[in-house]
Amino acid sequence: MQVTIKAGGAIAEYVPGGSTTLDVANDACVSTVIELLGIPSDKPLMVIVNDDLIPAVKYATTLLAQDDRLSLVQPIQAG
Amino acid sequence: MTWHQKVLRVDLTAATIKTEPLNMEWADQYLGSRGLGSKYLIEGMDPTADAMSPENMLIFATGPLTGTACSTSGRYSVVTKGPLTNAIACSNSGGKFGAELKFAGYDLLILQGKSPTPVYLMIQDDKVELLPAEQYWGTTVWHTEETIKEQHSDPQIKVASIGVAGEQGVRYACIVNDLHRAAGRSGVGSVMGSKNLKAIAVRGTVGVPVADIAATRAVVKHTHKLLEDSEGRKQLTEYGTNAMIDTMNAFGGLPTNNFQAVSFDGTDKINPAAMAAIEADGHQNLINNKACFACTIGCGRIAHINKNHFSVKDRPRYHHASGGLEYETAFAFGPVLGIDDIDALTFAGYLMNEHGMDPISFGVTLAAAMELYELGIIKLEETDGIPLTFGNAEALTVMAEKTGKHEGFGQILGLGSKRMCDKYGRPELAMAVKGQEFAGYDSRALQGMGLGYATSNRGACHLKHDVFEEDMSDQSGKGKAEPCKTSQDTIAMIDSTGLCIFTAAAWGVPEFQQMVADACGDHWTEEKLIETGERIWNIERIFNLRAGLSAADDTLPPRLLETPAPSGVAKGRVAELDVMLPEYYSLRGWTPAGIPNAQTLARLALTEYA
Repeated sequence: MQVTIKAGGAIAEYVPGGSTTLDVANDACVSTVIELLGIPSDKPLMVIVNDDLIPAVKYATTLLAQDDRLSLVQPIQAG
Repeated sequence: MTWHQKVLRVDLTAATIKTEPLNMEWADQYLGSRGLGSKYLIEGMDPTADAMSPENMLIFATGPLTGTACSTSGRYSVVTKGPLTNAIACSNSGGKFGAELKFAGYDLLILQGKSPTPVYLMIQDDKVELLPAEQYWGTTVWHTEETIKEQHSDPQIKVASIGVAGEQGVRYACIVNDLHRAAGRSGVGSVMGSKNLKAIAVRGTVGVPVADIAATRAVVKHTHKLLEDSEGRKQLTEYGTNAMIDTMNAFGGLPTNNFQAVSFDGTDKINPAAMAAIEADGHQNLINNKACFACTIGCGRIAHINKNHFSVKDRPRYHHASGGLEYETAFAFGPVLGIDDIDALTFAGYLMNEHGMDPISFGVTLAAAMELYELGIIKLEETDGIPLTFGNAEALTVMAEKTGKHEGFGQILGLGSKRMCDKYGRPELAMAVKGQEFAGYDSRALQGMGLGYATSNRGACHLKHDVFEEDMSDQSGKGKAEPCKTSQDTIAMIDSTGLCIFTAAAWGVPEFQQMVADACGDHWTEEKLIETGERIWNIERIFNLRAGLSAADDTLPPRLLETPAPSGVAKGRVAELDVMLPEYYSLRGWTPAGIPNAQTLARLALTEYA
């Protein structure tokens, strides 16, 4: 199945052009995408699937569906 | 002891200049900068006085760490009664001006009264003069700063000045120092203009006293290293604050089209990646980053506008590099106006610095005007022939310039969103608290931010609290009152040290305690610092209560309280102020009417204000 990825800030370094479409297995979860993109586990990260914020503890259990939209950004605190 | 223990007081009405000892008892209760300035303000003026009257005071306050070797020690505060809000205003700036004021031998500069003619204040250590400023009146910040340096044949002079916006009473005019750093919020530049004071120029060679150089060196080295290693610091250095635009857009907290939407399709054209991208003709928006005095973060951006862009095509004076997009300018000229033209946004930023205006208040006021225009309430014949439609980049650049020069419809925009929307009979369209416009965070998605906006003593502000972590992990209003209150107190303390709040990416209260104790004495414990922060928050509140504000002013616009977020992680939610505010008042030790109770006043040694 295919999911679309949009990345911002420091996370865009792992997604050329800042956005892409990935082919993943039907049992793929958020962790699968993070690993595919090569984002280090210690990198501060915020993941939003469609309109849902996914806590880090649920990356490995949140299954993805066809055409899901993943936003991968920094949990930056500045203004 | 890093204090000079010296205050410079200038009566502009009488044209008198004198020095007086710093009230060290107050310094021991209010630390410095924001806190100490607030104490001098409430003791020195009637809070009910008109903000634009000679009775208002304008205080430039350094902190005990301003001008020291501590990282980010260039900060100073401008404290006054704000003309946008009629509340206390504390506007903080970086650059080099604050450190230079300290180097000249002064901890605080207090200005009162009103000069009969335009003047500027020249400070060269002990030599302080009020000089005629007719030749600068009516000119820009950039012209004023450059010409003062030329006139005195000293490029090392540091200047804080206002543009025409401040002279003409634009309610959100700011004071710009070092060409593109500013005491930006709450209209402090309008207060300066109301006093016929065009600029303050300072050259200091006295320095800052340090009691124990070895101890200072040790604490500076330790805190520098913490900051160097901090992930948050690294993000700020590399991407600047505008990295937030991708985060807020993904989260659904990015105010768009005057807060009618919470995400924006055009962020890819104005985010840090777009700033760094090389365009087809080889042009690049981002030149480099820039740091304030003694700063080891360097979050500032220096940018360049494409010479072929419509805004500057035949205007070579804008073909140089200058201050670039930060998150709040990107938000206030971008999503909230529906505009994704990076050169137009950058140009508007130049104009804010050149004419001396707060970009947040200008942008959000223009957003309200655009909504009024699209509703047919503001007519084309009022707007100098410029359609104020969302997405119109020309409307941004033209109106920014008109407002800066106080011309045409710019005079209406100069009122700020509250007064403008009142004028057109649609007060609910002003996205503001206490008359001051929101920053780039929607409080339906970030509930703690909403509570912070509602309770901020200077009107809506994103810099007086820090509930990001809690807001991003939970979208309800539950549990937000305590971190909001605690962070407000902590930030009040940090603002009063003379250091930048961005250091909180790496430093906690223990690090600030080490630096303050080194500067002011070991009796400055962590507990004393936290209590001081709380005292500062309460003295600001007391000023506002005496000025006539009340709990009724601790609120949010109906759009945020009643209209659910249309998308994002908080889709369907409204700001839950009714949940958060009573808990907040209780935690603060305030009555249900938002007034500090007797026990709170006693605990904070504020009983004289009962």
